[in-house]
Amino acid sequence: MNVIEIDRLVKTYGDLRALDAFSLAIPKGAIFGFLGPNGAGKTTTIRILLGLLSSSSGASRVFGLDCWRDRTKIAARVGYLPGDVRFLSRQSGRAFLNFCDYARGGTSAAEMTRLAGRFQLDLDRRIRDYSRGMKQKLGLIQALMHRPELMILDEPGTALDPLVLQTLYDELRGAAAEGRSILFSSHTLSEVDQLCDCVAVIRAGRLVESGAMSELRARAPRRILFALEPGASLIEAPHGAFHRGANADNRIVGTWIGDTQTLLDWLRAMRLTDLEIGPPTLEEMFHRLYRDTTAAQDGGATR
Amino acid sequence: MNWVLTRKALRDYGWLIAAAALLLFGFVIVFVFAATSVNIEQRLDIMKTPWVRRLISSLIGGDIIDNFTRTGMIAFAFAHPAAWAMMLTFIITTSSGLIAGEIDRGSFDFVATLPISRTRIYVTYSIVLATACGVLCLAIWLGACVGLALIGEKDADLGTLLIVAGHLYVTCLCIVGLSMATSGMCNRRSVAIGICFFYVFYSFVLNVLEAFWPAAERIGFTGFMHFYKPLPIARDAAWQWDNLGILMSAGLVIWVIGWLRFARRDLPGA
Repeated sequence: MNVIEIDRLVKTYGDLRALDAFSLAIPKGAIFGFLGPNGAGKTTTIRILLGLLSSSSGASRVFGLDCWRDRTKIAARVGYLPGDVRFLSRQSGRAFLNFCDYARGGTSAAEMTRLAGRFQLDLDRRIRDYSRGMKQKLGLIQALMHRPELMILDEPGTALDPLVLQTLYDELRGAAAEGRSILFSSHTLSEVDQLCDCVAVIRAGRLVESGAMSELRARAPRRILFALEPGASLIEAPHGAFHRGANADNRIVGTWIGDTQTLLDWLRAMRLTDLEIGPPTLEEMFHRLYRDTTAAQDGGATR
Repeated sequence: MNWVLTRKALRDYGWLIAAAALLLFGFVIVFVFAATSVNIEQRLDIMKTPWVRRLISSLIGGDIIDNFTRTGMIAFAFAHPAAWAMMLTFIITTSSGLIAGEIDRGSFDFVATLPISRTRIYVTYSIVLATACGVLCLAIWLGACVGLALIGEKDADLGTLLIVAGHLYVTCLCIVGLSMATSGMCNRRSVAIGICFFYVFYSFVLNVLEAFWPAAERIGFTGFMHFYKPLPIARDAAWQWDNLGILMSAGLVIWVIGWLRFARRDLPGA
């Protein structure tokens, strides 16, 4: 069963197409990473899912409910952390969390205290005295404390130190183990790589890559470095799987995009004096997608 | 109506309600002292100056010389520019802060993603503001009561002044309708405040112009001040149901437009 189903979603702002026939399905219990460069449409998608924005066309459903019509019902089952957390600064952290708790039925006091302890946040200080990281922690506690079935977190790792980040990952893994689902957008690939079961990449309002992390890793490029024996020549790789980079000290450097057996067969066919094969890196894959985005944006395509 | 939002609104703006009520209460006491500290002849001399007479007439909706009573004099406090300035600043500042201000700041995302419908948010904030206006109008009336008691005045009719306060309240509700609608429709607090203050300023100018320039009377009905006339109310000691009906209807129509728009609009990020 899917907790989120997006079907050919379009959102326009005048002539600008922020989302262009964007489709996505997120299964129950998944930790789903949502990647894309700035302005790709991640936040627009999230705001449509929360019923904050209407779509121009297409369908978006959370728990099988329409995101626009049933937004109040959906809100009761979702925890949300905005990308840029801002609070009324006059109140204390506890007053803010109590307000959110009471609005949801007032059953989260114990969980609030537990999370405040886990994230080491003093709830009795005024929010105006909080640092950027403390505000982020407060936003996270607010999103998690009512133990929602779905957590939508817009760049949750922003301003958090590595220790707190690890605590957050533990909390999210624990939630997923209980069958709760998490959608989070991020710019940090290592974050997605560590945490996610599935990932989707959005670019210029369109889905460009989506799938399980294991599938993506299998498709990810490997960095290869090798040296040929004197007089030996480089054989062309099948299906253009080898992308040659700059040579270094008579060594050939490049990336391999393809299956491992073909790579081994290709290398065996050449006489080598040295060889290094790196693990598949998603980073190179995403950088390539991001670079394509920049080119598309330079071409004046879409947001 | 949602009690959690009510508590939030009171926590955020309760101090402003209390401050505005105290200011108005104190102002009216001072006004009562000032209005009764000079003798009647002196007061009539000032008011007989043609432009002063017209200006006051435009504010209170009738000629003070022809209707010179203690109750009529005190009724002027319910239309005094200083009292209006306090009331309107309170209404517009609060209403714009409740929705547009939070959207502007980015903190409204937390409210909008709670399981509370937008209709409830809009209705709750409107009720809080309408109740606060009631408190302010009551503060003005209580200020008049205390002021008159302090000077030992027994001629003024407090029951009639309560009717004037009732009319003032309905006029305030009309402004609440406008200010909540602009707050619900705008993304920027400054824009919501600007629209409301522009209309209020327009109403005041038009109301004064009506007293000096007969042509302005033709469009006088477009300003809310045209329908608030404390002196005739104090003179007749009767509710002006036609004016009340127009103010209530206009406020309600604008409020409903604001509600429909707010319930259907996109809420952008900060």
